[in-house]
Amino acid sequence: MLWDYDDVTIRNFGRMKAYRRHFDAGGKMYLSEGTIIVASQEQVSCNLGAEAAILNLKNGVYYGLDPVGARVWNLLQQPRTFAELRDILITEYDVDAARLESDMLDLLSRLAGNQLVEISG
Amino acid sequence: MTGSGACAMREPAAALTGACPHLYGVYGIALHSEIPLALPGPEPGELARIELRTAPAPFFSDAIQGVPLEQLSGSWYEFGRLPDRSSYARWTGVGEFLVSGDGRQVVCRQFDVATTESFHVYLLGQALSFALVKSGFEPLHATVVVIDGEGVAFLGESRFGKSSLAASFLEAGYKMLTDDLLMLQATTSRVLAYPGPPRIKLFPKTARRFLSDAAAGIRMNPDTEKLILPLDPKRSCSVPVPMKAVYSLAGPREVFRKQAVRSEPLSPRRAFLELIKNTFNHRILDADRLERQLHQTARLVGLMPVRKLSFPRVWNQLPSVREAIISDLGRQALKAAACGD
Repeated sequence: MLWDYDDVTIRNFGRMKAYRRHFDAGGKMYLSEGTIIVASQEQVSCNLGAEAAILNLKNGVYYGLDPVGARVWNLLQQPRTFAELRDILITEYDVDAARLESDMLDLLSRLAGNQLVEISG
Repeated sequence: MTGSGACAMREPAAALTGACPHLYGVYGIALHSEIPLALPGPEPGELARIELRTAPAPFFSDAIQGVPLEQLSGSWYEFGRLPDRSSYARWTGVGEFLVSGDGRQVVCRQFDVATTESFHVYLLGQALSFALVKSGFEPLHATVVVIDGEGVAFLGESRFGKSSLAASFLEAGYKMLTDDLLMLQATTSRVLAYPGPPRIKLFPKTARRFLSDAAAGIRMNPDTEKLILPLDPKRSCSVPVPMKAVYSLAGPREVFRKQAVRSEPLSPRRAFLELIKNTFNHRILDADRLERQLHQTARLVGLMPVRKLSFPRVWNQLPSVREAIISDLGRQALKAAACGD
């Protein structure tokens, strides 16, 4: 996996339900090249050196992203298509396209599942 | 963040008109109190003023009328949010507390069955944490000792060994800054840690091993053997100190009995999440507080090292854990100096 990810909550209730629209029956995320992704309005985040922390204001859960995840997160501060995001990252990291797309889907799936990004199209 | 004329603050009920004759300093706060407490006087440069009053039972029952109280399963702690943003908290067998929405007033009542020492632990810990958070601070759940004039904090859940580790430092002549609630304030280039009440909470076995006056301890509550032990000025630090390092203690189940003491740096995000996990107050959850917590914690992470500390939970080995920590701090200081060069 290209990135590492963790989270912590100071609340006692469980996670919010994941978006279902962009997930198949097996729970795997699918996005088209033109799908637009952007950081949710219902969060605040900050950079911690090359890493980042995000707070979901809806459920009070904090998330931490490693440098690669933080780079993706910073790119998502403005709306980007899946293809645009992939094309930027492929120039920045030494990784083949298939692996990158798979890892992107994994991270975006986690971000979407925790309502940290909005996905349209 | 500071108020003025603590005894003239807004009162939640007309009945609370008594004087606040006692003035104390704790966690950098000036505490104007109606009741005597085992605390020193305030230091100059207080961060805020908080008023502490007492009230009879009907005051609290009136205040929480119609307010749903939350209680975790099996817990002896109940909590309620009042429409005027006040917070109510009650610990069975200890007492009840009402903290005003602006955090500038705490009203309390000690239950008859509680010892004064036990009541004061909850008053100056859990109850006061509501007032601190409402006043814009982010207290942590930590124990801090002073090494060469700087604070070294131990983070971790209850029973992770924070106080026992601190007791081993007391045995070696180091002073305690705070046990349980840690108030930090970031300045432009460093973090200051503020002194808590001069006492430590220890299990009798640990107290007997590390403190000569263990017999002076008073049991914290009927559900625990833990003792509250007052600390004299030789063993407690009463002034703020700059922070040197934070050690997040690995849980007892994460370490082996024969494992060597291990200290490793945490990446900024892991350090951030450790500090968040160890917030003292888990109950105030409005968006403004959480957003402030995010930014204050991020700032702390940039100003002080946070490390993970793993050590075997064999209590008679604590002195060697203490020495390993002192060596580790020395190594980190050398590294920092080399980077500075």
